[in-house]
Amino acid sequence: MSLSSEPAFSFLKSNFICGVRDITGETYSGVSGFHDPNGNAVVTSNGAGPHNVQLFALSADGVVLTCLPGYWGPDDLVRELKLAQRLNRVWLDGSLSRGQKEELFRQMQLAHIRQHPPAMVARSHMQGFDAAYEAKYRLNDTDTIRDPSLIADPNSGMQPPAAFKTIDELMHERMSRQPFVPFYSFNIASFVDYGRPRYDKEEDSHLPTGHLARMPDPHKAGRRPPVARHIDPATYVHYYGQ
Amino acid sequence: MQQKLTAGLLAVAFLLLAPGPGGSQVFSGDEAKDRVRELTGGIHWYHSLTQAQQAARNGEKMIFWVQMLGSLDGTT
Repeated sequence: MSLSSEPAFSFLKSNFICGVRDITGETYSGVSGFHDPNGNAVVTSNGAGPHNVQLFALSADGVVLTCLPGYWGPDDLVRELKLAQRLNRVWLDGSLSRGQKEELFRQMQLAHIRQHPPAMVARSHMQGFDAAYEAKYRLNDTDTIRDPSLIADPNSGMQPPAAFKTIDELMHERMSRQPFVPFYSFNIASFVDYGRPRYDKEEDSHLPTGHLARMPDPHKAGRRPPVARHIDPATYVHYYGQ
Repeated sequence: MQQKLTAGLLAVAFLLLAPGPGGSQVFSGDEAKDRVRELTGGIHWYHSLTQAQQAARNGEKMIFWVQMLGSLDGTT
C-alpha cells in the first residue's frame, strides 16, 4: 500500500483523523523477521502480513466500517475507504433502524467485491506460503479456499492460486459478518486469521528487480454470485448507487 | 529493542509502497525512510483512540486507525 503515495496520502489527510497503535504482544499479532534499518523493502500483494498490520476505517464514535488486513496498494486502499465513507453515511442515518443498517452493511460489503477491477483482484492473491499453510492445516475448515478439489495434495507446499479466494474477496466476506461493531468488540483475531503467523519476505535476499509472484486467474476470480437484496431498493440505491 | 525498531521500519516500508500487478519490487532502505518522514511529517498521528475519536467528532471526520508491529517512525 502506500500511505505516503498518492492518492492515499491526500485522501487520508483531507478526510480522516489518523492514528496508530503498536500491536506487539497482542494475541493475534504475528512475528516479523529481523531486518536491518537500512535494508531493502519488498513491495507485496494486498492482504499480505495480516497479523502484522491492520488498517481500520472507523466512524467518529469508534464503530468499525472496514478493516483491511496486511498491506494494501494506494489506489485499492482509497477505493475501500470510499466504501467506508458510504457506510459511515448509513451509520449516521437516523431514519434507518439498527436492523436496516446492518442489512445494508452486509449487502454493501458483499456487493463491493464485484466492483473490484481485475487489476485489484490480481494484486490481492494470497501469498504462496499462506496458501500452503491453509491447505495443509485447514483444508476442511477454512473460508479461504474456494475450490478444495483443486488441491491435489494439501502437503505439497505450492498450491494452485485458483483454489483460493483472493484477499479482497475474503476481506469483504469477513467484514459482512461483523456489521457496525464497536472497535473494542471487533473480533480482530478471527478477521486476520489466514496464513501462517510469521511474515518475513527476506527482503535483503532479493535482487533489485524482485521476483514474479504467481497470479490468480482473474476470470475465475470474477465469477461471483450476485448479492441478494432484502432491503428497500430505493434505500439501497441511495447509498450504493446501483 | 533493535529488532522491534527494525521490524517497525520494515512494516512501515511495506505501508509506504504499492504492490505491482507483476509481483514483487524492491525499494532501498533510504527511500523507505524518506517516505516515513513524509508520512509522519505530513499527517498528525494520534496514539490514543479516545483522543482520535474526540478529534474526529470535533472535525466531523472519520478515523483511519493503523495497527502494526512497531511504530510508524521506528522509535519504539
